[in-house]
Amino acid sequence: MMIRNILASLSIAVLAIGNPHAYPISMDIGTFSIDDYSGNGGGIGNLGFMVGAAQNFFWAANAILPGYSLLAAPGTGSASPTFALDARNTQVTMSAITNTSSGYGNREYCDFLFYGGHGLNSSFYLGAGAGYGQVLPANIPLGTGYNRWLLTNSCSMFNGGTPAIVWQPAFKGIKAMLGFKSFAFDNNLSWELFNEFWVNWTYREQSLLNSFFDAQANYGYKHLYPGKGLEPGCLSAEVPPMRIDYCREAFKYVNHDYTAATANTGYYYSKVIGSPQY
Amino acid sequence: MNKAALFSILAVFASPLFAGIPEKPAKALAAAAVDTAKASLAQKAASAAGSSGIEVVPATAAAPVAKDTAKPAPKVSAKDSAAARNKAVKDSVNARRKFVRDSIAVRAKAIKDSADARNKFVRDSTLARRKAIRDSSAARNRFVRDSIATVQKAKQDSLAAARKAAHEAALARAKAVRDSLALAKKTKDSLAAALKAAKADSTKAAMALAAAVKRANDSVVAARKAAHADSLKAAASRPRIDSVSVKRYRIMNRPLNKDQMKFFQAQFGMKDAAKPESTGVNWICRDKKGGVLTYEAGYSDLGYANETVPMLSEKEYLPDSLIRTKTDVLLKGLLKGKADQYVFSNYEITLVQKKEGEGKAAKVYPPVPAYYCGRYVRKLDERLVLGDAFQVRVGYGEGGAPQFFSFRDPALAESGPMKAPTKERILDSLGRWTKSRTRPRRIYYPYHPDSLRVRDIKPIKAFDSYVVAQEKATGTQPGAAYLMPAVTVLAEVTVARSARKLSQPQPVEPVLLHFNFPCRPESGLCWPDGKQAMQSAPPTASAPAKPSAPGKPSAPTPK
Repeated sequence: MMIRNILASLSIAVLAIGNPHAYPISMDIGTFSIDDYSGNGGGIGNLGFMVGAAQNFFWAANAILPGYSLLAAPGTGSASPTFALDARNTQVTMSAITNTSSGYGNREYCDFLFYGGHGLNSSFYLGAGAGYGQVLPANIPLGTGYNRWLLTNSCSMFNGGTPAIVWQPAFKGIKAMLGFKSFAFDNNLSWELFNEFWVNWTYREQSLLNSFFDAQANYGYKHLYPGKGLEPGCLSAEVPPMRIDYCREAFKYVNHDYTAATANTGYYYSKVIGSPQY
Repeated sequence: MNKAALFSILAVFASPLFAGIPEKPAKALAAAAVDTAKASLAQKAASAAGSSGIEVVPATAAAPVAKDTAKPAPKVSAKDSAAARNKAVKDSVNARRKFVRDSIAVRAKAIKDSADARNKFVRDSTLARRKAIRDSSAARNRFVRDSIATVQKAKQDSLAAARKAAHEAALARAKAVRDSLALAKKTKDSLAAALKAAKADSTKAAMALAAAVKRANDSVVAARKAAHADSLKAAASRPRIDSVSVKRYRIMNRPLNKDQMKFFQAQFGMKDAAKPESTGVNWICRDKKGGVLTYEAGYSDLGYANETVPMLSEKEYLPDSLIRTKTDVLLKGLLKGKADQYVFSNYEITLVQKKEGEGKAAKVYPPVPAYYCGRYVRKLDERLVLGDAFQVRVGYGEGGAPQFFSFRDPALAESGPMKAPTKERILDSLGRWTKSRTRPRRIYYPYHPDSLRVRDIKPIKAFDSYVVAQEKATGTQPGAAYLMPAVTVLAEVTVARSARKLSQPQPVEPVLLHFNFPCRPESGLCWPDGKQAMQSAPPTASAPAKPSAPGKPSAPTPK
């Protein structure tokens, strides 16, 4: 443990010295969000704030990233995000979410993916209707194109087994996946939540996992305090021994290229906030 | 011989003694002495001749003296004169020889005495020096021997003292460990006993409360028919306090100045700070050690993070009480003088799970703690401020190094008092609600996607609180966020078992939930009383798509 910590610290130091301001080469954001499950064949209750959360996820990034990139690397403007995919409700079909085309408007074109909807024990639940259903990790190879990060705003995506084992089939180049082991809850504070996430990852130079965990501790937990709780998690792709993993990577240390991660899972991080329900 | 003649002779023979005197005065003196001696001799001879009739003619100045002398010298015979002169010469020679011999003897004796004295001095000096050398050598040897003995003794004493000190320290350490273990065990036992007792007491208290309520209700029902009017009259005249006047506060952004930022920079040991402005946050200070301190005026949120702090080591996987002990210490340093305004609420643990290999060969290790974080809530006018607007979260990694800090402390302005219910009134009301025949029977548990029903709901305890509520502008107040006084009730909710196939497992154990009185949906759960379900305002179909402001409040619905 200690050796690993030292190596991790050294890696941070090496990255900080050798590659001070890398940033992702682009930030094309794609979202899948479902509120109206009845339109997708029902099978589960409707939600209220998932489409709004997806919009806020992009618009928070759009509010934060350009200013940050100008501040840290004046004149580049490379980090201005684009909203390359915005699939809502009935548009979130099995074929749309499993499509591996990397053309514009498809899932694999996007660097950062957002999913807002129901989750069922390490799977996406799109509805009971034909063309929807349950999407298992083996059905959604992430990263064959440009997918590098995935945030799932849904219940139990890391529940039902060891996350690094269960999600291994989906890791085909993606760097890190954020989600929950516990139940997560519909949240009308998604603007504050995702604004804090992007601020944490950029200006505050927090790691990806702490950016997500702390935003959830402050805003995802708001309606649940103090009786309930959350358990967010971050699953990283495998990294070489001397490299810091993708969950512990701040935005400015992200490689400035499109290189895919190793097609295998690595460390899994989680945080217990309050009294989560599983 | 008269004195002058003796002096002249001494002067002649003493002349060699004046070897060191310059030659010219000595010779003149000697010549003068000879002249005087001659004159004296001549005078003596003349005297003798006069008395004997012999004329004495000085050898050198006989003629002129004779010529110039008015009185002629008596005449002596030449034979007597020659004899006298010979005798005088002879005497003189003898005297001179004697004198020389004596002088030589004296001189030899003096020389001998001097040599003897010198030899004696040299011999004595040598002996004395040898003795001194012997004494010095002996003294030096003695000193060296004494020094060596002293050093050896000091060393032995020091070693003995060190051995003794080490032994005592080992004993003390062992005793401290034993005491610590005993204390920890005692604390653990007492905590377990206290928890058990508290649980038993709370359950007992709840049961007793329910029984008391039942008895009270029964007695009331029984008495109602008999003395309904009297009962109402007694109730009307009973001096129960149903509400109190409590301050409310308007929440405003808290400005932060450079000195305050410097204080926190110093607390985190930050150097080489910079202060860039940005659209995302208002202040950012970084240091070379990896720490970043930010302040967002819009959220009155001071944040610190340092991703280079290593994860906890195995020996730091501490029990909960020690987590608080650690974060309490950090908090006191960070909130100098204000730490007592905060109450520990709960803690968070960041876990890390290591995985090696791929596929079936993959090896996954158990999750272990990486960082601990304590959450503290604000206490204002003896009321707990619920929500996340007023809170402190402080986290630490290896060695207790601060890894995370979030401090939210907006400014408050008193905004006039308002009526707030008392705990007694709420508990009394809930007691009656439990036995009411008209209360709602179909209550849905809000934290499950399959709309499970609530089988039972029991109030456990109540406490005074402040909740954050968004108030509209009126003629007397501006539209803003306010801290509103409330009573929060902790209740135990039991979910009914469902025979349906569920998308998520249902909670088996009773769940603790908080309900706020009066009902403010944006602030938390409302008690299900027939007008309001056990949740905040129902989720709306349209979500807030604009990033500028949060949407309408809603109950948290599981996804």
